[in-house]
Amino acid sequence: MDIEIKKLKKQYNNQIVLDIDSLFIPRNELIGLIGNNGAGKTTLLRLISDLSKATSGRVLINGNDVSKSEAWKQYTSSYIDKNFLIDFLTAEEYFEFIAASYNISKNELDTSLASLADFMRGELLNKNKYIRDHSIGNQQKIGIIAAIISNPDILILDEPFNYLDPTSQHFICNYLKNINQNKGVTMIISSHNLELIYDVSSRIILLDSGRIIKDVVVNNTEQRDEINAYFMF
Amino acid sequence: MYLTREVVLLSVCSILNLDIMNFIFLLRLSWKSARRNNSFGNDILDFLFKYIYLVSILFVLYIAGSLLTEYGFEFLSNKANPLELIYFYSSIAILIDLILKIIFKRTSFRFAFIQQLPNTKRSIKAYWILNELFSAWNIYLILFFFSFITIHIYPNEGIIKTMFLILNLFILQLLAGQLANVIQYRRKVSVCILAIITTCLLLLAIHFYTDWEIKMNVINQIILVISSFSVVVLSLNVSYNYIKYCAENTYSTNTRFNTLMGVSLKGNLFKYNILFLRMLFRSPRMRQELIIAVLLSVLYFFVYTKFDDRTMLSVFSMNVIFSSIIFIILSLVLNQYIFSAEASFFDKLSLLPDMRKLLLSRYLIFVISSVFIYLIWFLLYSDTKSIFQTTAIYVYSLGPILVSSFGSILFANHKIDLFVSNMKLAASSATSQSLFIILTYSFWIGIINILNNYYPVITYKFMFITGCLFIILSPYILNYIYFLFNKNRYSKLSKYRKK
Repeated sequence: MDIEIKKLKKQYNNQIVLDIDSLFIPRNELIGLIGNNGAGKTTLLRLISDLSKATSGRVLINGNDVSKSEAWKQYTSSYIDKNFLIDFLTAEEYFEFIAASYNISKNELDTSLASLADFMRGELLNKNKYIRDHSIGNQQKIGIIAAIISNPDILILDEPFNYLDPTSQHFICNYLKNINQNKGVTMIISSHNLELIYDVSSRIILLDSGRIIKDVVVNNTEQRDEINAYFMF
Repeated sequence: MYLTREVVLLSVCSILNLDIMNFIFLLRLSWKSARRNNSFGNDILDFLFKYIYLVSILFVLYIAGSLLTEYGFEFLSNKANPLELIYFYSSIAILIDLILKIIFKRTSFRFAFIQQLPNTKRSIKAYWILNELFSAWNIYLILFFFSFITIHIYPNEGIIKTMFLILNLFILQLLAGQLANVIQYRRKVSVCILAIITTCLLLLAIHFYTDWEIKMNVINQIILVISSFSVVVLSLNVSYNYIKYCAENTYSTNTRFNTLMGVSLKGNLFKYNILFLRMLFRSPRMRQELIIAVLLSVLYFFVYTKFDDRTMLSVFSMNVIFSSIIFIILSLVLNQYIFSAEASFFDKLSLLPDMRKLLLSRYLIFVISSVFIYLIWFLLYSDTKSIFQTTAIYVYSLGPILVSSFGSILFANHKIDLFVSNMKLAASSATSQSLFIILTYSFWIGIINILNNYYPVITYKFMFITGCLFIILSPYILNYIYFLFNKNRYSKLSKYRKK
């Protein structure tokens, strides 16, 4: 599944917050989206997920315009912020609800959850605790897991490493790389953590004031140094 | 693979292909796959839930048919004998059936699965015929006319003519289904087909209002059955091409209807029901609303019992207001918060592939909860004289009033905090949604009162028929309401994200 962005513009009160002329994300690509606060990372992810209206332009997932079709929802999953969590459910109830929405069987769900056992560290399941009562780090984990268990072809995560302890950060980093390589999942991950994003991504997009100023392949060290230099004073 | 009607039908197809072993294998396979599936329990509940709705619709149809028996026969009894009368009625009904099928009926084909069977073309045709034979779309008119047939036809005309009449109705519905496909597949011929049907109806009307007679004897009935069935068989090739056309254009046909009217009862409604019930019982805010609704119901019952002489309730408007409120008070109270209660996780909901079914699942919960209240009401207070009146009010409450109240989602502009304290309740109430529901309720009650002032005789019948129509069309109306909401989804979503 590929993602194509054409002349995408988002404007709030006459201020342009995102302006991307063209961007193509082919199947299997793992994009790391970086940029300072207000660069337009979350806005871009919301526009790709059709959670926000573009002032102009289009986002196509596998050829379907996301604002006009619903077919892409079947194979796209995302976690952007806490608004994705149903806080009066327990973690397992939430996972079951999500799994039912994507016709994921109980067996498949259990298998997915078992593969994420080290990430949950025994703190999420069978605790008889509503999501709202979990710590912010565990809520972040629940959101990420819920996005993963639907077995999507396209996965969109906004700052997934935030609030996570270092062990969990490295686990999820490796897990995402693994499903990208083995299952061919196309991913867009935004983060402020340059070290982890270099580790996980195959391509980095640097945003500044809503515009793409760098679009580089990660293993090109020269370009990576340029990105590092960008974040220095 | 699940135990689906398609799988069972395909198994029957194997019989037609003289492959008994394949038939037994497929049947066993479908049962095992369903039973061993982890979601078996959910599937069964989902299945039951959907069929409760279907049976309710069929029940309503039967009641509507009984009304026709009581009032419709008197209307034209001086013009014809019962058998001719029912043929006249059914001709009109078949035309309506055809129009309904053109607009609403969508058959899903498991084309890839059929192609694996031997003799594909024959299998597809057999599959098509069997699919139609077992389709609920082709039996509802029989149920509608059942009361009339058993009361007026069978005693006068005997078993043979009655059976032929039922067979005629069934095959004519089969034919209507076939014609609907032809019209969907080849739109240009639709004008010709509609012209032919209109001519037939005109001939029937002339027959009725002149002395030109066509005797509906057994021979004529047999000719009608054979000719209709011949058309069905002859047009099988068209059906075959239609199925292929559907299989090859799945995307375009689906999107057209997904955007506006397309709604199907298929899918896991059950998960939304569970989600709603959990929200209702776990959120202090929603729990309070539930308690308020229950207390109000009890209060209304208490007040109602005080009307010993029924003087007040003999006033039409009082009777309608008191009865309708009791039937749907819970639903109306909770509908004030629909989508505003879900606003805190609406981002996730709006990304789910089947989110549009949330409204339908909510409606089904309300219908089922109201059935209990109706039964209590029915057992406690209804005498034989008021059965129809109470039923008409009940159906009217579930129909236009309740279905329209879902329009409150269009005014759901704020997020309701599900865990807010009692003291903050008033400050953050969903005022515009509440106001919409009050206005909707007043509007429908107002219409009935105006009608009652001018045409008191037909008011209850109007309520019943309008109610039935709204209940039957509720999936489509709710889908349309969601479609209207969806047009403004971005502004709603941004409002929901605000703290």
